[in-house]
Parts: sequence; C-alpha cells; structure tokens
Amino acid sequence: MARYIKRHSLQARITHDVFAVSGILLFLTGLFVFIPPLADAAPATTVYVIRIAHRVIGFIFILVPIISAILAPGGFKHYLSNYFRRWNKEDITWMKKFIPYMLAPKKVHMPNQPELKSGQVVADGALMLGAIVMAISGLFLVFGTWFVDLSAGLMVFMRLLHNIGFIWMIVFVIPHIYLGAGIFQPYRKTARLMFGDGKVSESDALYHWGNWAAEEFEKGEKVVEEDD
Amino acid sequence: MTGHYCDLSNSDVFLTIGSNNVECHPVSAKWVQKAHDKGATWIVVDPRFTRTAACADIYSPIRAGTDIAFFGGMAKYILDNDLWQKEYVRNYTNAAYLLDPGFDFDVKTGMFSGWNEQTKSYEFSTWGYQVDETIPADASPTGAFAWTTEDGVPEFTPPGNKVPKKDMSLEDPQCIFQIFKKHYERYDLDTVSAVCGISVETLELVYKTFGSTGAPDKAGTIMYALGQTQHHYGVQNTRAMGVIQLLLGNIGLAGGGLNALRGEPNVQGSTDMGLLVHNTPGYLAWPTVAKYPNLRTWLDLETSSGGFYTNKPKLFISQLKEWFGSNATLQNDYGYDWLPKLGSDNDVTTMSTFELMNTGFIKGYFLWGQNPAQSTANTKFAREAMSKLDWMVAIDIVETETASFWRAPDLDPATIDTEVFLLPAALPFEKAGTVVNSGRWLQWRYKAVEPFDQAKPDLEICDLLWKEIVKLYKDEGGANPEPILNIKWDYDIDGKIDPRAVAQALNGYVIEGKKLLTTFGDLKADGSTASAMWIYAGFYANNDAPLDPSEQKVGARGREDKGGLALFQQWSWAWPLNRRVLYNRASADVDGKPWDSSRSLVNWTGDAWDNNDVADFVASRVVDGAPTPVAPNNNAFFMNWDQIGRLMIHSLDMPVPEHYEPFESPTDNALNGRENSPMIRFADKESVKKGTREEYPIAVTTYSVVEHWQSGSQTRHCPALVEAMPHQFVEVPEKLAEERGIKNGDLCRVFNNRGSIHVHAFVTPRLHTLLINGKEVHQIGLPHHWGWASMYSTGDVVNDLAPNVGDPGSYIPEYKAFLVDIEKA
Amino acid sequence: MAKLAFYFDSSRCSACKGCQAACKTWNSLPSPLGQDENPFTGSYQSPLDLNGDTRLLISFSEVAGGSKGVEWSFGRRSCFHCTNAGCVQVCPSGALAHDEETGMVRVTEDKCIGCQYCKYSCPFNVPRHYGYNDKINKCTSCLDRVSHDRQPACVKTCQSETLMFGSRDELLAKANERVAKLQEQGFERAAVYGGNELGGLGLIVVAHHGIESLSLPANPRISGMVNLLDILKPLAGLGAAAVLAGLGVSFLTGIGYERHKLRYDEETHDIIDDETNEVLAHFDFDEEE
Repeated sequence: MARYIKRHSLQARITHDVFAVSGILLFLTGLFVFIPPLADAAPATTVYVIRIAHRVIGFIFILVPIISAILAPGGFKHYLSNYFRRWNKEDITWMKKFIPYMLAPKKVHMPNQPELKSGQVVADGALMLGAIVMAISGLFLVFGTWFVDLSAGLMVFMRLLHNIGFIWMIVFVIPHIYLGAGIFQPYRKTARLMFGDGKVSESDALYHWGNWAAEEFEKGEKVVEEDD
Repeated sequence: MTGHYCDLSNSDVFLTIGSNNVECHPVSAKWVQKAHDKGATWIVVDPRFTRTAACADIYSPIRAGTDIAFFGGMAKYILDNDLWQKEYVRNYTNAAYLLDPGFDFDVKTGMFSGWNEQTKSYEFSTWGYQVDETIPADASPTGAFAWTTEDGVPEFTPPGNKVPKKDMSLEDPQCIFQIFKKHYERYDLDTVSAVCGISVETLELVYKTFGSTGAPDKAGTIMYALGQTQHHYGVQNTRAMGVIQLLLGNIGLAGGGLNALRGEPNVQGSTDMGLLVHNTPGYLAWPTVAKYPNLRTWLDLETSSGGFYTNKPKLFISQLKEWFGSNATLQNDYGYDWLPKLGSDNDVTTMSTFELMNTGFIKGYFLWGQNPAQSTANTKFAREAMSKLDWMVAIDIVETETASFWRAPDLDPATIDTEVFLLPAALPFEKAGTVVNSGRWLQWRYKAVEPFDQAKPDLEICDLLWKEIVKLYKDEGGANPEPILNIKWDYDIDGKIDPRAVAQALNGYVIEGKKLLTTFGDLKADGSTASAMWIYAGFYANNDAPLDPSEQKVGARGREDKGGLALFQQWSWAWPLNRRVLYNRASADVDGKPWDSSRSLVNWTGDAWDNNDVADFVASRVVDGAPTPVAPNNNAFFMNWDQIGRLMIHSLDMPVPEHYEPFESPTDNALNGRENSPMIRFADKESVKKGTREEYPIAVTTYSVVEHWQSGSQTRHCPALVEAMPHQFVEVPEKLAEERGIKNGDLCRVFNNRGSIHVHAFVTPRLHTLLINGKEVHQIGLPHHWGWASMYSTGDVVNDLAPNVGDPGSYIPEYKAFLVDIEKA
Repeated sequence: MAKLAFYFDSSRCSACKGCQAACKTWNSLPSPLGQDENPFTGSYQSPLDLNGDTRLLISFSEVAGGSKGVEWSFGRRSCFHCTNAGCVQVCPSGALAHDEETGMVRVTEDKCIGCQYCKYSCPFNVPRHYGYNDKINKCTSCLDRVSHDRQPACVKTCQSETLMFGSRDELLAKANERVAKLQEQGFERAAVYGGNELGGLGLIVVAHHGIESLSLPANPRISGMVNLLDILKPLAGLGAAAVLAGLGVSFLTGIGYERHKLRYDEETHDIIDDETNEVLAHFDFDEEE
C-alpha cells in the first residue's frame, strides 16, 4: 500500500490540458505566419486554413480557462490566492538556489514549500501573463482584420505585442514542459499530475511541496491509499 | 467645329464658354494641354467652377443665359481698345458694306425694324445691304451658270448677283462696322458686369486676354457646346461668338475658329445625315408645302447668286437620283413631287411633337436611340403626352425611360393603353459603319463582335422594316404609294444589307458604270450622277477596292503631318474634300500671304498656291482643259452668296445678337426694354407653366458630368461608371446653403411649376451667389443623367423642371437657364 | 531603386476617372451591383477610399482661394510601389515582393494568406483585402500587360498625358522639369513627390497645388514597430535556443539521478527519508494552532 494526495481535480486537469494542447497548436500554426519561408513553402490555401485554425484555436485557448473559472469560482479564487501569497525567506532561498539546483539536482536541495512553490509562482505566473498578452493582442488582430477598422498604428502595436508575447511564451513554456513532463530527471512521473489522475505520491508531494503535503496528511481529507 | 481636336494644339488663347470640354469632350483636353505646354492661356467662363475650370488659367463665373451680354461687352472692348484685326475685318467681313437705311433698333422696346405682328417674325428687307447694281446670272458658255443649259437640267431661274455698296474706310455711318459699333455702345463694362454677375476686374482680364488674339500672328479659339446653344436665343449666342472671332481675325486660322464640340454619339454624323426635320442629308433644305411646292421653286430659291452654292441644284438633283434611281427623270422633276413635304400648320420639331401627341394628332411614335421621356424639356408633360399614343416603337440597346415611360413614378400603368415595342439594337462595336468626329473626320468602325442575342444593327432593322413595308404596299396598297414604291433601295451585298453599299451611295458616283466620284465638283444636275450626301464626296472613292473600307480614304491611317500643324492629312478623311480647317483662305492676307508664317495653311507663292490644307476657296479653275491657279482675292467665305464673313446678317431672329433674358429669369433686362426675344418659340403653350422670380428665386443651370453620358441609358448600366458617380445631386453655393439650412449631403427638394425632384446636395464654393443688377442671385447646378430605368443607379428626372420653350432657328429647348426653388427635404 | 515608375501630374489631370474605370475593367474588379447600392459620398470622389475591389481612385479636394476662387485638386490614390516597402517587409508568405525586372511591388495572389499585415505596415494605407479569405488587392502595375510591352491599363486610357509609365529616372527628371515650369507659372507650392521618399517611390507625383492638396504625407516612414518586428524573429529563435541549451545541460547533469523516497509521520509531524530514516523536517502544528 502507498499513500497519495489528490492534488488536481478533474476540472482543473481538463482545463489545463485543453489549454496546453491549444497552446501548442497555436504555437505550431502561428509559426506559419511567423516564419516566412514556412508559409512560402506551403500552398496559400493550406496556410490560410492554418491561419483560420490559429484563430479558432485561439478562441478555445481564451474561453476554456474563463469557462472553468465561472464553473468553479471557489477553486479559481483558491488558485489565484496561491499566486498572490506572501513571500518568505524560504522563497528567497528557493529562488537563489534555482539555477544551481537545475544544474546539480543531486547535490543542491530545496527548502520545503507550500502548495505552489516559489518557482511555480514565478514561472506559471509569467506563463499566465504571457497568455493574457497573447489573448488580448490576438483578439485585437482578429477583430481588426475581420470586424472593425482599427488604426494601422494600433494594429502594428498589437502585432508587436503578439510577437513579444510569443518570445515570452517560448522562454517560459519550454522549461514548463521540461519540468512538468518530468524530462528533468528528479521530476520523473510528474506528468501524471495533470495528464494522469491528478494524484501525487507521498514521496513526491513531500519532495516538492513539503509544507503543503504535511498539512494535507495532517488533515487527511485528500489522502488516499492505493496498492503499489 | 471649324477646325478639329488636334488643331487646338495651335492656339494661343482658349476660351471655353458654354462648354465643359474637359468633362464632356475629354479628348479635346489632350490637345488643349499640348498648347498649354507651349504657353497658351486658357480661359473658362462658366456658371460653375467645373473640372475644366480646374485645369484652366483664368476662371470667370457667369449667370447662365447672359452670353450675348458677355460677348457684346467683349465686342465693345475690342473696338474701344483697338484690338480688332483691321485688315481682316475690312477685307473678309461685311464691315464695309452699307446697310439699308431703314434698319433700326429700338432700345426702349427691344425690337429691330421689320417686325411683322401677323407672322410673329421679322421681315428682312431693312436688314439687307444697299445695292449698287444686280448682275444677271451668266449662263453663257464661260459663265457660272453655263451648266444650266445642258440636257437633263430642270428649268429654273438662277438669281442675279447683287453688288452691295461699300465704304472701305469703314467711316460711313450707315456701314455695318459703324452700326455694329453703335449697337454695342450700351454694353459697357459696368452694365455687362451687372447683367452677367462678373466683376469688372475679371471681365476686363478675360476681354483683354482673349482680345490679344486680334494680333494677326495670334490665334484664339472658342470652344462651346450646349451651354451656348440650349437657350431660346441659342443661335444668336453662336452668332455672337462668330462675330467676335471675325473681329479678332481668328476664323480660318490654324488654332483659331469657332469650335462646337461634338462627341461620341456621332452627333456630327447624325446632323450631317439630315437628322433634323428641316434638312436633307448634307444640309440642303427639306421641301415644305408653302415655300417649295415644286422643284422649280426649290431651285429658284435655294440656288445662290454667288459662291459655291450656285451649284446647289447639282447637289440636290444627284440626291434625288440616289433616292429614286431610274424612276427619277427630268420629266417627273426627278421625283421631287413624291417627297413628303412639311406643312406649315403643324410643326414637327421635337418639343412640338409632344403637343401634337397631347392633342391626339400624333398617334404612333418611332424612337431610334433617343430617350425623350428623360431628356426632353418639361419631361413630365412629354410623358403625359406619350401616354395618349396608340403605339410606340423604341429601338435601343437597353430599356430606356422612354421605352418604359408607362412605368414612370408619376404615371399609372393601368390607365395607359399605349402598346410599346422594344427592338434591341446592336452596340457600336457589334456593327460596321462610319462615325464622324467633332472635327468632321470620317472613320470606318469595323465590327468587333456579333450582336448579342436578337439585337441587330440599326441599318438592318431599318432594312427589314422597309422591305416589309414595301411588300405590304405591293400586296395590299396604301396611302401615298409613290414615294414608297419608287424608291431605289439597293444596298444589299451578297444578299444582305451592307454599310459599304450605303457608303458608296453617300459618296456619290457617275450612274453610268457606277464610277465613284472623288469630288462633289463632278456632280451634275442632269441626272447622270447620284449622291446621297454631297459633303461626303471623296471619302469612299477608290474604284479599285469598292468593298474594302481600309483601302478607302475613310480607312486612311497615315501618320504624316505636312506643315507640322497637326493637320494629319493622311489620317482618316475630313468633310468636305479632306479640308481640315474651314475658311482657311482667311489664314492669309488678301495677297495670299499667311498672317503668321509659322501657321501656314495656304500660301500664294506669286504664281501658285502652296497649301498644307485643302483650299477652302477657289484655288484653281479649269482653263482650256487644264487646272490653272486662281490668283488670291478676298472671297474667303465662299459658302455665302456674298462670299464674306458677316458681322450682321439678314435672316433668322436678329440681324445682330442682342441680349434678352432667359424665359424664366431672376432679373429684368438691363440692356433693352424687352424681357425675352420676340421670336421665342412655344412660350405661349399652356404646358410651359412659366414661374415667376417671386415664386422661384433661384437660377439654375443643367449639365453633364464626365462619368455619365446624356440620359444615362448606357452609363447607368455600367457598374464601374455608376460606382464612380453613383447619384444625382444638386450643387449649391455656400451662401444659399447657409440661408436654407442645407448641409453637404442633405436630401433636398428642387421644384418649380413643372416638376419637383429629390436630390442630394453638394454644398460647394464652386457655385456662386452673384450680384445681378444690384441684387444677390443664387445660382445652383443640376446634372441631368438620371431616371428610373436602370439596374444600378436611379434618380428623379431633372428635365421635368426645364421649360419647353426654345430657339426659333434651331428649336432647341432652354435647358441651361431657368428658375426653381430649393428646400431641405 | 525602382527601374520603372508611374508618373502622375495633377496639373494635367482632369479627373475624368478613366483610369479608375480602366483599372476595374482590365483587372476584372467588380463594382456594387445592387440598385442604388453605392452611397452618396458628398463629393465627386467615389468610392471615398480604396477597398477590396478598388485599387485606384481619383481623389478630390476643393479649397476656396487662389486666383480662380477655388483650388480643386485631383490626385491619384493607389499603390506607390515604394523601394523600401513596408508591405514587402512584413509579408510573411512572399505574396508581396519587388519584381526583379521592373522594381514594382508585385502581387502573387496565390501566395497571399490573408494576414493583412501589409495593410497595417503601409505608410499610405493602400493595401486592401477581399473575399472570404482576405486576399490582397492593390495595384499590380499591370505587370501582366507590362511584361508584354504594354502600358498599364490606367496609363493606356489617360487622354491628357497625366499618367505615364516608363523609366523611373526619365520620369523623375520630367517631373522636376515640370515642377520648375509650374513654379515659373506661379504655382509656388508645386512639388515633386516620390523622388526620395522611402528610398524612392514607383509613383512619381507632380502636385501643382502642393503635396498637402493631395493629402500626401510629407515624410512617409515605415513605423518603427514594423522594424522592431523584424528584430523579434531572430530574438525568438535565440531565446528558444538559449532556453533549450540551458535545459540540455540541466538534463545531462541530472541524468540517472534516483531520489530517496520520503514519508510523513503524522504522529511525530516529521518528513522522514524512507531509506535512511533520517528526519528531514519537523512541523509544529499544535504550537502554531
């Protein structure tokens, strides 16, 4: 028998997964407009379909988290509160240790963390911020070309924003995948959290979010026992 | 035009007045610009600041309908400031001729001498010259009328030639120069300024600039169009311009002349063809019951005592021979009696036809490429009159307002019994034939594509109808069978009607062997030649290839320009005889030396004529069987019996142009005691519904825009043109807009007693509030291209507002100046 | 620098709109087909601006003043075929590019993906788009005609020699000559437009009432943001490469690392290394409460 904590609800996992998959598709479809030789190589109608797909997926990308938040306002509030928590000494230590830890995970060890560790607050927060910038600038680009006549200056600015957002996303999404999917060796099996049943093993929970795990074991509400 | 479009490039000063040549004749602008590049000055006088004004150097507004005051003032300015071309006026005009002592003009009544209250017209006896002697017509073997004694020439009495009294010093108070000068004494700058609404400064600038072309080596040209002609004194407007050009010595010069701009609709060609009721093709008089009851009276009255028209019988008898062929013989007066003759009781000019429909006299109506339900003056009345017809046949490329008159918004189709037939006509590029441009150039237009669906060329429609009518007459008989059964109608080639056969008939030929003629000089009055239209003789005269238009002069495409005056003698063919500049004799002095050697059209070298253009005078004569040069004389206008340019005339409605106010005018006549010209036509008709200036204080003029063509039947069916100018509008001066609370783009109602239309407003500084005889007069402008019949662009009919009164010479309606009121709709 | 160019002389233009109609007809561009569908524009200018079916129009501007009382200026509104063309710079698919032969901005419609970036990077607001897939519509300089030694449709139809097409150098010289002459004639504000703007335009304009009368921007520039966009592309690649490199090193250093399992003891409130039984952390829940 082994103990697990139920960390992510089904709704949270679906929200994350649809969001993540649409984000990846947006990245791939966007490349065709971003990289001229790519568009040049493909037939224009294909590129056109890809562009329209980019816009349709964009709407999914925007709508899914909004709908999710509406369906579970309590969860959304809790989610937000994790980002806007107060920072303490341990957080500072954590952040200082981050790069050494990434390069020498065997030797460098991190302090215990609450439900959302400082690295997540920064990295996922940046990701959310990037997504919001992409969403807003993307909406302007869609509306400006399809529905209303916006000034050229505003449109170019929105495009600029969309491109800056794109770089931003590259910088934060790749490490997110690296860590989240457990390519980073100490993080193996973490993919299960979002793409699996949402449960975290006792050992992993204590390793990543010691403070939170201890609390959950004390309360016992989310703790389940399963066969090995 | 006395010249042609390319000739405009030779001018020093342009006066565009009563024309919007850049918009309505855009190709003319190309040649004006060429002269402009060389430093020519371009003046535009127009009620509106047009796109032509935008291109010009000097612009002057003018109150519509005051052109005679404007030109009268110019004549006075030219004389007062000694700008006239003295040698030219003395030798080539009738300035020196002494006028009948009975001639008079009464300023108080505004009447010339000779008024006949019974006929409501002038008798011309007091307008003529004092005559020294009358030389009897010379029918001796060497005389001008020798040919009248030949076999086959009908008997008639050629007139004797009057020799007028002259004073070459121009000082005799009874000489035309002095009487003319006296007549325009009243037209001083201040008066003209008050009548026309032009500031004295602008007036002086225009007069001075155009007057500068009185120098012998300068050429000024006047470009005009419907803005001059569409008045009840339109012919006199034209005369006024002719007189100015004579005073300045501009007629006959390269870059000079009096140029009526005529455009795409082949209007030059259609008037050449005798479109007007009083003409046969080639501008010969159409027989009337009262004046020409038989051939002899026609020949007696129409044969001129001097000049080229001493030959008129040759032209007319050749025409009769073409019409009736071998049926026309000396014995039956060449079929003259068969011709339908106009009666004096019923006038059948355009405006009258609607009066006659209204009274039920006209029951059937054939319309060939015409749209009077949209385009005639007082169209509302015209449409109501049409609704009384039994039948109408409309032949057109689209369903016009007239073909669908019963659908007019103001008519109830349920109450109209007129049966309307619409015959689809082929488009210009779906048929072969000739077109004549503004410069009288004939060009062959080849068929590009087959007509669409059931559409047919006009010639074919005409042929089918004619053959059917003849068949019915043969089978069943009918009224007046002679003209129908005796007509020669042999224009088939390979069993089908063919424009090439018609071209040969127009050109003329010796009947024996059908040899095409190169000049109308070879036409005869003895029945041995046939010619449907003498003025075209030579355009289709290559006997070696009678079926190939490209081998004929009409198909000529040579690019040489002998003399460098843009005459392009080898490109197409200009009637008459490929003459490019009419009256070109006047481009040289009495000794035959060009006034300006750089502008040499004709030149007497001492023993021969060295000409760049075809001489418009007798330059050679056959002596002992050989052509021999004729030494220069002063017979520069040999189409007149006196062979001279006329400052004053002895025909029409005025001997010398005098200002009268438009039928509906915003002011009193400041120049004489009479409001309208005494010979105004149709002013007494009930349908006219004259409005007063108290009821309708706004002066209006109507016009065309470049994007549309006439009644819009063609252009309102072209989406690209509709998009370029989609809606009817009224142009409103800013001051009037302010007074009436009209903003740019507002829908407005423009109305008078005859009609009411809704149009959008353009509020613009391009229209003016003028100071007329001390009072402010607002002048607005309405383009006239719209009606209800179009898939793409519709609008109210502007001509509902225009009065159906007109000129006694041309019977043209007064579209260009009348009164309305305007309000925000 | 463009090898060929258009020439437009406002002092000769009579605003007959022949060019506007010829452009539509030659290029099979539709006009509205509904009855009275076109709006009243309140001007002789119609349509008021370029649109997905209109590449060329004649513009009108009337101002009271001048020796004739009104200055009515007619201009050509269409693509300027810039040497430094914003549209070419931003076009992601190669639909817009400079034609090697003529230097004009060529349109390869098949390549257009409808992104409309060109519209927003053009200093003259010229490109327009049409159809369900927002294809580019702008003056092509009728390269289909030019490549067969024919004049562009608009030039061919122009009667007053307002429009010309040919060697850019010659036409620029002609324009300078013309302006000198116009200034001599009293058109003090007469100016040439397109000589140096944006590296030299492929439409040389002679503006006899000055360039403001034709609403031409005095100093057209490609927006700085557009240039910035160009920098962002390599930057994005660089960023991605840097991140990936860093993570690669991280992966290599961590490869094969097996963590000790941890367990939590609710009794002692300790986190304990499952293999060494070492207490790694202790929590004082009661005390805190």
